[in-house]
Amino acid sequence: MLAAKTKDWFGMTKELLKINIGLQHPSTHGVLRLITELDGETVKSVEPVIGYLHRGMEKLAESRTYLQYLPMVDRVDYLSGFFCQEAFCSAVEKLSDIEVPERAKYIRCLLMELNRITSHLLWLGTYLMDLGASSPIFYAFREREMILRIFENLTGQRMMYNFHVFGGVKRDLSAEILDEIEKFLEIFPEKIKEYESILTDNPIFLSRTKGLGILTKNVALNYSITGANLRASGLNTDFRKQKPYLVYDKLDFEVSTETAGDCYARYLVRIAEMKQSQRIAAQCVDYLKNNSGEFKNSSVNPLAIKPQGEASSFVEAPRGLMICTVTADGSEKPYRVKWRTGSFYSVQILPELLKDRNFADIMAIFGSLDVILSEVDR
Amino acid sequence: MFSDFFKGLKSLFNGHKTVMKQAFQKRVTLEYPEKKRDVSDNFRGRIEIVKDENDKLLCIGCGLCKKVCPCNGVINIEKQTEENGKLHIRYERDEAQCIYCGNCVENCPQKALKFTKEYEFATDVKSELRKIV
Amino acid sequence: MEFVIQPYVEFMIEHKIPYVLAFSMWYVLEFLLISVFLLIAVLIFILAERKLLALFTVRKGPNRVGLGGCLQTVADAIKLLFKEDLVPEKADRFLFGLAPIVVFAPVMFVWTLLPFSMSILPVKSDVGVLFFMAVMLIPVMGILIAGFASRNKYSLLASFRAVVQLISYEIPMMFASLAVVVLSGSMSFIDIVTEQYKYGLLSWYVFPSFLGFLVFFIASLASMNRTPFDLHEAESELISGHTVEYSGMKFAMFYMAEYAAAFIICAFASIMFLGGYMSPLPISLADLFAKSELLYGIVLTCEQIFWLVLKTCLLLFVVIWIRATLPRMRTDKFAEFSWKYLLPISVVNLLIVCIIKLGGLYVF
Repeated sequence: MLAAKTKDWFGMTKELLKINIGLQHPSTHGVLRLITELDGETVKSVEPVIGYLHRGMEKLAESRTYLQYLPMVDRVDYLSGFFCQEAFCSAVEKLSDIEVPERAKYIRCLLMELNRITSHLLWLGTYLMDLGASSPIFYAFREREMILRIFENLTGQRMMYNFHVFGGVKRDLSAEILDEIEKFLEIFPEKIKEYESILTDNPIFLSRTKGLGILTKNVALNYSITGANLRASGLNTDFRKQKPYLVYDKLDFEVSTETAGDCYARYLVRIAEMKQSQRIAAQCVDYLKNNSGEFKNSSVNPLAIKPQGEASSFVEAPRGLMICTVTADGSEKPYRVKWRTGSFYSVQILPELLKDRNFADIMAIFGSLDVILSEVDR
Repeated sequence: MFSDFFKGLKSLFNGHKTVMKQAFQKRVTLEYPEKKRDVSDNFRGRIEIVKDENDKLLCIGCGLCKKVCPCNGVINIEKQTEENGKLHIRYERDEAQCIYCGNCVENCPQKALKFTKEYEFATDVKSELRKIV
Repeated sequence: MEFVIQPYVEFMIEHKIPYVLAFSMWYVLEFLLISVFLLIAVLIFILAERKLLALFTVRKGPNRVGLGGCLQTVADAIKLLFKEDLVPEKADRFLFGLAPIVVFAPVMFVWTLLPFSMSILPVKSDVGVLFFMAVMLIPVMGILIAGFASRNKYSLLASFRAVVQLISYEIPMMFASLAVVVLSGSMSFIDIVTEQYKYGLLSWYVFPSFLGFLVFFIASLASMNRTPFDLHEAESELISGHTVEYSGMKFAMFYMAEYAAAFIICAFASIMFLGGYMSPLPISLADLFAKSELLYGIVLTCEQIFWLVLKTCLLLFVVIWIRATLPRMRTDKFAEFSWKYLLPISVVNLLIVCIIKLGGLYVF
């Protein structure tokens, strides 16, 4: 940290303005606290303080059975519940050698890609809110609402799905729900064009995002940044391609990358990812309509899961790589569950990115990293 | 430089056009307390303890719901067998603790619990949320 | 306004009211009338903005109070009136109370300069443009006072930003209005409007000085603190800036001053560039229907007020439309934008206008 007091030319003491951004601040997306030192409007140092949303997600697992812990997993990242469910379920499935039927894999895949769209839409809306544009958030939420309705019809709740079971999913996708999803996927590319027409070439948006918060490849790797933030820095890493889980090796999609590494590149990557998600989801719907099969491994008794050993699962979540490591000791409760989530690493990089930046850039850069505090604190 | 300028100008124009286009689209507002949207049959609302036509609980007091509950939503199940073999069950749930995950409903061997579509149960008194059957 | 003054004077003579009293009461009445009109206009404008923003964002907007939500702003105003007036413990109490007045008073003051029609003009000034420019600077001082007095770091930053914003937009705005002064050869608003009436629609100053109009409009967006230049309000950065610590009626004064300023600046823009209260149509209703002199006066005045309000509302609609679309600019980028682009453009515009005026190319 910088020395708080310095002398200026006339020998007057000059103090840095210490300002506390957060906990209750409209653009910290939850309960992040940033202790900022300002010189005029220039940020001299930033210190993120986390832990205000700590719920003890990892410790809670140790006193609960596998089935009891499953509903809680959604809350690790409340905007992308299916990813957390997938991470935990597939780790447990690996541990206890549970076979997942093909149809269930496709269903999981479809739901996760839809969930990725909702998550990115929420990011888009709130990010533009941070930049001061008031209406795109409503358009983004309108489309997000369409998916959430589908999720609610299917799983019973809008965000806390609890839809995965060990060895499949809870219920099959009915023809009506598949039609609904298809209808959404048809209109969605049109909507993305709408967002892009407001933003992509807009000179004010460009001046707020281009060349700002540049995250070089090496810095990003040193800080273990993953996901869209890393892809925007020019590294083609996507666990859906590199280490295909579920049925991603059978699906046709591209990994979108940008080389600039600034806020604008991160925006472009996320927009491109939404388009790819739409493509993947359309393929999954196609498969599900034309093929039938089991949606659940019915030989599994969720109450009697008593695995032994250690297994990790890798999921490419909207906010970066999500790893769930489950250590089991043969009892009905896990010995230890460890979560690795993308947002935690994105928060770490803030002091580096925000140094010597304008005050208004704090929100532009922090928003572009797409941080969800529930995922940071767990 | 000039191409950039015109690109920016065109984008500003397109952006305003898009925003204006939204003015003629369907409204998304739902005037909530008067109008409510439908929820599906799968909706996980308030949990009801099912009784059969003789006003008797289906519950057999096995306690499985308590075992799978992640958050102490099911507080207590007391089982008493009278001399004539009649079963008395006192079932105590706390809706303030419940996270509506559905584990108890899905794992009940007797289908003695079910979800309703009710979702408005805000109250001033916490004890009102404690249900005893 | 002879058609009103005449009966007023007769009434006063009939009831034997002394001349001095009658004379001063006339001004009080006129000012009251106009300020009530302003307050009502502000209430309607706030409601219209909320409704329009809702329209652009696929919502319904306020729809509970009154028919279709028409009384929403009235309800909000009453709610603000009854709110507790909080002053932060370490704030400078005097300055804290002074700031809303410093912001609100000049806006009301400028309002009297506005010519609604040929006859309704409370203060006739030969240097109207200069006066307008000068007085519209005072609210920024109020914002500066508010930022310092409320002892809040966010407010302080906001007041810095307000001053940075002021020195950025003010000079292009003045150059843009200078073009109008050059064209009309007068600083009086009445003269400016009359000059624009000579050849109907074509003599509007927006045509010879189109660049000037654009610069004036952009700069006035900044002076109204509207998106994309709402730098010191910046809800997502400074949590609404200088009004953070204000509540109740003091906050309402800031709020109303802002909206009243927006209304007034748009009205002045339409007077300076869009022909003011003059009708763009070649014929007027008064010529067609009014038989007697009194009726002619009334119809003409109403018509002129209608055209002025219509032009102002069109500009305000564009302002709200822009607010719904664009993100906020950064302070330093805005300063750069106005010094690097707006100022040269406005100077070039002034040059063009001078050439037109001097060379006699301006054939109209």
